[in-house]
Amino acid sequence: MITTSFISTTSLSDETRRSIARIQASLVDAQKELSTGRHADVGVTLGASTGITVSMRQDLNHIQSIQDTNNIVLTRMQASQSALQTIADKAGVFLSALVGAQSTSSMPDTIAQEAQAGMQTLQEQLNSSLDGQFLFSGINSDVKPMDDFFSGTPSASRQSVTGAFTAKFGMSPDDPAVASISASDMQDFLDNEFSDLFSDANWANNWSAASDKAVTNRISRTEVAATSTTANDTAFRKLTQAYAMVSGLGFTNLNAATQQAVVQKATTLVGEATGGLTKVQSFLGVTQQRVTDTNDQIDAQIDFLTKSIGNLESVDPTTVTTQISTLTTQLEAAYSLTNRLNNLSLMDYLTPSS
Amino acid sequence: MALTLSVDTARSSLSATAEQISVVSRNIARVGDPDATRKTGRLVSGPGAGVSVAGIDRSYNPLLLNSYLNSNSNYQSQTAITTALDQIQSTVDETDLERSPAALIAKLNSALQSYSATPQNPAVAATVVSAAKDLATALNSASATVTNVRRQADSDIAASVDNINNLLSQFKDLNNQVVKGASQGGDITDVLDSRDAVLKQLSSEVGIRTVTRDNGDMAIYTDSGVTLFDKSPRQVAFQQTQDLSGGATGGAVYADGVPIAGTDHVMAISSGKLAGLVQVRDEIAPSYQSQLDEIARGLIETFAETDQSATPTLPPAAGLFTYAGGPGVPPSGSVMAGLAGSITVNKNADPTQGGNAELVRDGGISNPGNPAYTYNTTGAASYTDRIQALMSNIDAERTFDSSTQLPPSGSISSYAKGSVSWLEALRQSASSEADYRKTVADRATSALSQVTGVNLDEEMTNLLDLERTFQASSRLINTVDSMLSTLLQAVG
Repeated sequence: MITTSFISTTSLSDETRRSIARIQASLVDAQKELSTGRHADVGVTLGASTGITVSMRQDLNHIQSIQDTNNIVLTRMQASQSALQTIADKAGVFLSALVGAQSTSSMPDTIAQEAQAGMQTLQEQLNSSLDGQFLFSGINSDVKPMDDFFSGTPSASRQSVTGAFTAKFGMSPDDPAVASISASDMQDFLDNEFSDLFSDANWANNWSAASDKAVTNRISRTEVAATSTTANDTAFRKLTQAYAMVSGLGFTNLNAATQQAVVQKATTLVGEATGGLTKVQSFLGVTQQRVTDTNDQIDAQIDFLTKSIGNLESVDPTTVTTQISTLTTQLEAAYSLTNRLNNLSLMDYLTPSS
Repeated sequence: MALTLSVDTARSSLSATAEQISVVSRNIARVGDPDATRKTGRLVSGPGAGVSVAGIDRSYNPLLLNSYLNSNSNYQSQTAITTALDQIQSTVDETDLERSPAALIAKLNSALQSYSATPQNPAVAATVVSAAKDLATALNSASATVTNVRRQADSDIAASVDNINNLLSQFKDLNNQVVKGASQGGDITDVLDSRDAVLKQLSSEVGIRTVTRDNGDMAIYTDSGVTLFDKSPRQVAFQQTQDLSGGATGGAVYADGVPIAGTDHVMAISSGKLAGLVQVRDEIAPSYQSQLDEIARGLIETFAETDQSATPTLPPAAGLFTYAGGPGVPPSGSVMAGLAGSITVNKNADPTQGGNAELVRDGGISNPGNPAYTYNTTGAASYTDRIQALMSNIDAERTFDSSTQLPPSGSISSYAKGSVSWLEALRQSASSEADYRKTVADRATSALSQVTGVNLDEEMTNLLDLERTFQASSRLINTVDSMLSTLLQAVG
């Protein structure tokens, strides 16, 4: 009673049941792939290469954050640049007033006022801040670098200037008797005692609360650059010195010859300071350019990484759609086959024996 | 007399047919039972005395049964492995969710980068600390997951061992019935079916080989050759381990006093759920655990603080990341078991625990009272050297334990990335292996079922045949009867 082409009833129904289950499982995966656009299980599909996408995502994360911080850094440098420009412009105005005073007999009051305005602009600009960070304080960014030279209660800087003057000439700069000071005495004072007020140590003690250390930032994956300039730069010191000698030493009361000595000294200093300012500006400009370039490169890298991650993790929607329609057809066929097999029973064809 | 002989033959045919119909009905009744084999009545023709059913045979194919047992064992061991790997994979999750330790290290790096641009802002410092906390928490929970997987495997091993002992004692009863039935010549086909069913269940738990003796007695050995049953069941013993956290080793499984799994032994089994579970508990999960421990150790090392005095005398101390054994830094280059479970963010830097997040910039997290570990000596608000150094440290080459199956040197982020690769590669091969073994097991199941199973249509046609035989035999008796009555009338 055994035939060669024998098949048991359970294996017949098991076979269709198994194939339906298999098709349904693939269909669930394919539908997930279609809705997310990624492999149903990226880990299983990529295996050891999963590390590559993880590492590319790490890189992407990293350079995106560098780009974000670069934008902050750029804003800060732009603000610094505009402050520097204002300082330079004001220094230019002062310089032309000084030059004018050398040839023609202009009003000493005008020059003194110009010096005061210049000093105020300089200090105001050096005290400029962005997002609670003082731009010219170096790493001491929570401290305002400059005390107001002209404030009602004399600042440390004002006191040091007045003190040096009084020690040298035995009178206060406000005393009308300063008219008696000779040009050579004034020259000597300016070159020695007064100039010494702007030495490294005295500048740090009396004038500036800034740190010598500029703020540094990582502007690309490997490059760390100084992205600020500090109020301790010699350009600012010389400019302050020039402003202070015209506005803090009783300039208006001096005799004409002494005034000329002061004007000449101030002219030299402002000239040097202007050169220094240009250097500072171009130093920042170069860094700005580097940051901008890095950001452009990062844009390109982001594009590349995003694309590469997509290549690894994504599925081709066309392929998946085709796959789904094939699977659906298969599933329908399997259903109808099951139905037919169930209906196909010898019992239906057996008539009760008479 | 020939006529009475014919009636006797027809009568024997009737009773034989009745018996065969009962066999058919047994077959039909068990058509849905995958363990049932097809029974046939064995007809013998006696010398002149008609037919009788001498015994019941069953369709039985030892080769196909063995291939089923083998493929089932192989499939079950692989299933245990893939299930565990899927659980472990939850510690990595989908790459685009970025929740793996590797992705969280990248996020911490990004947070540091942002902080370096606005170092005067304590709120940004707090985001660094919270990114660090995410990372520590992820490592803690990954470590807990791995321990759970091992604990689960350990208790599954215990359940499997119980099941094996249970099946072996069932097997003993059935085997005794077979031996007894065979010697008495009774119908033992159903008992044989039940005994085969027990074998099938046993093959799910452990890979087995069987030897059948002349009297129908069967002995069972593991695939490594250790006796599980021979005349009597052998005790399979296993002691569950209460605490499997941090690389603790689990107990071994013994059969008949011989270790068959859980230790290095020549008699170790190679297939069955038991083999898969032991592999998960003793190889896969511990390897991954040690990788997590190394990531934790690498992090502590990356963020460690050194003595900043002019002449350093103090040892490095754990900084942003610390652990139960802090503030000392764990010895470099070797796994410290269970470290991933105890790594935390130092509370001195955690604002939610009363710490100061800005210590990330300034240093001195290990001991804020000790100025030796302070990097930002002037207290400058925009001091970024330490932050930059931390970012460089993340990218810096360091040494990892070479026993973790990952490259022993590389940066902390590339090591963490390597761990993801390792796990996914394992999953990929395990999953395709499981697919393959499932196909083989399915084939073996259907091959066995096709040859030994019942086909309803076949039984129905057999039934028709038998019905006809019955009718014909009845008709024969009827005919002989009418012939005899004709004869009697003629005589009368």
